[in-house]
Amino acid sequence: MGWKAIHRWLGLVAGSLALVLGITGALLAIDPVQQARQAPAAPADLPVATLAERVQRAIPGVEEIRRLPSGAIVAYGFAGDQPQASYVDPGDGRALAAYRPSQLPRWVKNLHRSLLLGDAGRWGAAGIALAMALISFSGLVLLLRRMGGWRHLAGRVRGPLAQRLHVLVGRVVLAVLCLSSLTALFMSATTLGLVQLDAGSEPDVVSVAGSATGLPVAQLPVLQGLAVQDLRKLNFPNAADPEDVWKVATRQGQGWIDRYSGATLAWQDATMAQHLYDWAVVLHTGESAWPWAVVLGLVAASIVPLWLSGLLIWWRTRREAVRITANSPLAQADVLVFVASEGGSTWGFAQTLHDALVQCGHRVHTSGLENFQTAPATRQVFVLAATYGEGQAPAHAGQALERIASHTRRVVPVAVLGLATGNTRPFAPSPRRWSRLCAPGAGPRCCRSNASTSSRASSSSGGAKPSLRHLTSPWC
Amino acid sequence: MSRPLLTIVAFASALALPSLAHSRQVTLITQLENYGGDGAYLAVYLTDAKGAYARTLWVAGGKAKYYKHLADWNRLSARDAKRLDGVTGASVGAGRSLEVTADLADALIDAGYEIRIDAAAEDMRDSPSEIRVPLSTQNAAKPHPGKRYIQNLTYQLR
Repeated sequence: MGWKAIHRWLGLVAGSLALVLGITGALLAIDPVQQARQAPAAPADLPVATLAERVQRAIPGVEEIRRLPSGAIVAYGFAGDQPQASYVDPGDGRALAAYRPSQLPRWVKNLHRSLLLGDAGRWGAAGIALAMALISFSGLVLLLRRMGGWRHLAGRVRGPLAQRLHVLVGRVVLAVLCLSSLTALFMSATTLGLVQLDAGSEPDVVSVAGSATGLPVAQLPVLQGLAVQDLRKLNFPNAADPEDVWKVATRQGQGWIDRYSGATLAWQDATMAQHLYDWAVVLHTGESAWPWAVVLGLVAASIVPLWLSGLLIWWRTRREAVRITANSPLAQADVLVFVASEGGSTWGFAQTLHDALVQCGHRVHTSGLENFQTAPATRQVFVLAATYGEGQAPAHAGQALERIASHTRRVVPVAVLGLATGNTRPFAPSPRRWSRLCAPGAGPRCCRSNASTSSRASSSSGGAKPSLRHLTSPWC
Repeated sequence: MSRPLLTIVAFASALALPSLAHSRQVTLITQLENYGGDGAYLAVYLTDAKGAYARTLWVAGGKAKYYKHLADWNRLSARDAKRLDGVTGASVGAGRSLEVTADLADALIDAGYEIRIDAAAEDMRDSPSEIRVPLSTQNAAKPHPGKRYIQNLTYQLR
């Protein structure tokens, strides 16, 4: 199976589900942008001890402080019996607006990561991510083939509207889509338990009472030396439990601090898997970098035009697929017609030519250029070759010239009709390459008619008949 | 006595006693609040009079990745390799209730043991020891309020 088939079938099948993930993904990208606007980010170098002291002074019941990926600080605590979570002003610790983890309903995120189907859905979503990575990669291979290599990647795109749209959007978003898929796969692997993030079980540590009251947070050396930019979470010790400890989670790991002495009772470094996971989350969600979230949102939304244009391209190719009628077997035919066409439109020309020749009383065999061969009965060969993209050979005929050069031992007249859209050069009549075939003794004798080397025809089959009738008349 | 030793003694007695003495069936019904989030992870477990881990009765929620959010249970039960054997189920949706039945040795009741529940939900705050209720005949059949995720816990002894 070629890259094109992989791209087409994965795109049509998994792509329709990827559409769901794309739309929900684009919606989810709103959250980081919203969060960045909602509350001021704490200064990166502010010591955590100072921040915690300010918050504790303003909100006496505070139990936990979190630094959101956006840089904003959220404090959790109780007001009476009511649990509270609010943004705080890092400058003075006072509570600002109430904190909500997401502005979207929960089902959007659950649809995105598990298709609302629990664990089976998580495997399904991971499968779609894998398919998406393959679609992106095969898309890159096809793009390079179409554009004529890396150097022409940014060049002008030609072809029908759906193809142009598919290529224009695809070449912009392809890398990000691939990155998104790979990070999604890593995140799925951690959730499905295939990758372990934890450094091991947490230590069983207690504060050992020394003085009657605990050390104020502002005097805890570990927190004095910790900048807010590295903080993830700080848990205050429970007032009712004299053995409870401070627990701090940072980008580097997590620590347990004695509430009386301020000494670090235990420290666990974050694992390599955890570091990778943190990066994967940032790259996949854009949660700590809202401009990246905007990029991700747009790329996720681009799956919609990509899928629709892909569907249109496939549907058109199917509709335009021509089944040659009255096709004689190769061994009995006196005229052979070989076709090279990526999108299938040249087959319309071939059918017209085939019909005209049959009407003239010939026995005609029409086939793809990749099947090029001649038989003792062969008197004349036509090659109808269209270009793909920037003058590239269609995928199925990529090796055709080599096959022709190596195959033929008999002298048979060959007429070549090159077809291209706009200003592209038809691939087949590349003078240098054909001259190789036409060299004396190297293969079939080239019979270059006026129509063969320089004709430029529209790829639609509408205008085909007059020129082809002209072409076929000498053999009638 | 050191804490690890206490844990081992408590754990051994919790396992051994049911076979030696009569056991009683306890049914715990945990009613969750409508806290407006995804399904909650809950760990229902017993600690002894000294606060050492004794036994896990139930863990709701199947992803080991999230067990660290059930912090107290995760820490206290870390040495119990069989803590999950036969006592796991799905996470419990907001507003739903969880019913757990277990056989407990008579000796555990009215002996200073505590029923504890750790709770956590995604993107929300962890709530270790959301519920701490002494395991006693006196406390049975009464609703005990939780802090954040759990509206109340009621247990029946038979």
